[in-house]
Amino acid sequence: MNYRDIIVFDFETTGRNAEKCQPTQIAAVAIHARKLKIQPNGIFESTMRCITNDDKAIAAGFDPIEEGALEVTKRTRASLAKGPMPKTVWKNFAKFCDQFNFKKTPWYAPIAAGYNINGFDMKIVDRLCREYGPTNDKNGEQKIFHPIHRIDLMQHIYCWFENNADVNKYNMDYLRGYFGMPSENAHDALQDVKDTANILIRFLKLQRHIIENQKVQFKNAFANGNLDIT
Amino acid sequence: MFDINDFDDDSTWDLISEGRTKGVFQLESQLGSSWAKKVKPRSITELSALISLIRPGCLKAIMDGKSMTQTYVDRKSGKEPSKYHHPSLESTLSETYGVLVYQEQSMMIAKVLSGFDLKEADSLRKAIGKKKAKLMLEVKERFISGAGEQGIVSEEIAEEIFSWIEKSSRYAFNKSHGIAYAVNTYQSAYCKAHKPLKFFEVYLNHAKDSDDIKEFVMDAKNHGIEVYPPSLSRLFPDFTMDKDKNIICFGISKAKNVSAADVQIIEKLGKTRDIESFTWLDCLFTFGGVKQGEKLGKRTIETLISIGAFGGENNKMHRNKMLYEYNVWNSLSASIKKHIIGLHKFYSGAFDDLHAWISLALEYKYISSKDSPEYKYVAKESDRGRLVVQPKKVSELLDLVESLKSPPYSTEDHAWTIANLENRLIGCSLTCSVVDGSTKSNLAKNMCRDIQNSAIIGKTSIAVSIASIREYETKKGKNAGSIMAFLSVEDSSGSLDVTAFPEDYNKHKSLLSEGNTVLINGTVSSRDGNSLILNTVSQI
Repeated sequence: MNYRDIIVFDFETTGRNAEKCQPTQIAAVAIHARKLKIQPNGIFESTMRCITNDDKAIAAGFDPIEEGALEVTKRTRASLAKGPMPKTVWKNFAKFCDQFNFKKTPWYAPIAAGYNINGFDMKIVDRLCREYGPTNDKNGEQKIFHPIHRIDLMQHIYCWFENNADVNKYNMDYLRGYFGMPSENAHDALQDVKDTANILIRFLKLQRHIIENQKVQFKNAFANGNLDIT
Repeated sequence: MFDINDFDDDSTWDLISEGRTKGVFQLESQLGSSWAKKVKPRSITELSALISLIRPGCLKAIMDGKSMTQTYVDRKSGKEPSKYHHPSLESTLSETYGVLVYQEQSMMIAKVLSGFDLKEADSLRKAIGKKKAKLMLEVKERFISGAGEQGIVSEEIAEEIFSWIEKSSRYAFNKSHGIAYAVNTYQSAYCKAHKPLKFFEVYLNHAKDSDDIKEFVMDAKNHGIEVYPPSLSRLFPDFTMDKDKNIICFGISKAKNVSAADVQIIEKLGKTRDIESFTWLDCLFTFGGVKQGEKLGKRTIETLISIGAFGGENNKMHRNKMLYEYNVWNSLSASIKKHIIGLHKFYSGAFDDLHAWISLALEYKYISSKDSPEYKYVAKESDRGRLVVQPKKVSELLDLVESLKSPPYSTEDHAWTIANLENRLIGCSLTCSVVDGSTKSNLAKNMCRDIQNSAIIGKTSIAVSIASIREYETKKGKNAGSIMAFLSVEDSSGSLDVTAFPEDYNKHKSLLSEGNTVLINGTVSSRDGNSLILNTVSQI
């Protein structure tokens, strides 16, 4: 039984390399673990200022801004130079997430969720935590989210659709179309997060329905030598 | 008249018989409360029997398929007649309906049937109680031969009775001990019935942990006593009752992260300054300031904000907003803090918003010299570079001003957030309940206290948070061996016991988890009238 809230989050960035891009926007929604609804005060959204001069960005250890990234996020270099500094935003984001850690211990921290977070967004979380905190004193790892559990919707969807010939791509834009979701504000971090959260909630409800109504018997499913691989 | 030796007080016996025994000597556990409801004692001797019978031995000792305790209850309530191994035992055991409750009863039987003198009877007690095999053999022989001499029962029956005494007496209690306990039990129940405010004040101050505090607060609510959260306008280190308002004020020292030294600082400041009328910014600039002897630690301040101690009685400042602002304030350097506090004094609190003070600080320069330890504020400076703030820091400060003006997330308070903060820091939610913010909670027909006070009959519904669940394997009935559950649930009015029978428990198990908020439709128990039998559950 999960008692920890789920925080679906997403970064918009200046590039595709999670280790060397600069985040330009972050958004998150906090979902109540039992109700599967957005928590009161459960929406976070902020732009982040970044270094728009490519030479200075490289000197600071970042990749130059990818034009494709500007196109996708419909931002300009001038607009990226405005907005609050990453440190301020990150501290506020940490505070936002901490609201949903009821016992203020790592094991009750909210569960990180999002689309392709394992491959991208969590790496940025780790990087920003190393830079601005908070980190675990013992192992230096991020301390905003639960240390073990996380939900990457992309992996989740892959498992559901791996045998479905209709679905042959696993990017968010394709899935929006497949699920019949509007795509007007796609690649706005908050819209992406809301779309991801909607899909995740639907799948969690489906799974709960299956288990509550005992459609599938999981307990002792492998008892009596009932194994596919021996 | 308050007389704790008035043993015929109906309100005290009602309190015990209704199981409202939290904090009552010997009956404060769930076990004590539930058996008190079943036994319904109305005299010291019955109360003594109850206390003796809820010891583990009696509850485990099975007689004719049920525990000695249950046998006593069934016989007392007339469900089954009192039975005696031999009519000669009736005079000794009639007080306890044929159940051997006390060691003194074994001694009396030996005296009547076998002619034991008091010394010999005491040997019987010792032999059984201390399991001395050699002594037991001797006493048994004496018991049977004595019975033969007395001629009241045959040797065969004497042997049977001795074996019954031997079995029962392993769990029997000392009657003088039982009566003395019963008097103490009655007296503490009497205090609870007649001086509930004082009773709860004392018990809350001696609660062993936050769980205990929570149970007492809920019980106080069930008894119509509100416990108010700590605030600067009701500043007490310990739980303190207000007789006129019939309330108890939560002791500030009982909150997590608030040390005795912190309380001393606040109390000391309260003697020289009017902290009762402090605004949020007064609190921030004083307790979060730089002056030794006034400032408090980060965790202490966060706790005091979270439990609603700052912001004054009528101040509607949101706790979340205060926490957010404190977080920003805390990221400022000591010199900037000092500068802002100076401006705040200089301009006598002209602004209500922190961002206005940070902005102002960026527009003013200050000078200080060895001759003049006080800061002197001079005309507005457009050149920010002349401030103590270094140019690169100015950008950070402007960032903070913006983030204060338009935070990246809502800093409004919700019942859910307040209740959770209070639960974590003072062990219970006093201002509101986690269910209060839920729109579906309007579907509830009643509150816990309505049912607890036996004001409801038949079907009803309640919107509650589940505080605890105890699973239990049924032993009888068509569902023998199935799992049922006893729930303790709560809302802002108090707490309530809910029983979920196997079928319904199994059906709704996925929603019945500790901490979850649910709408329970149920039927008020006809057995005690102040608990609920669960029918259906839905998530709220």
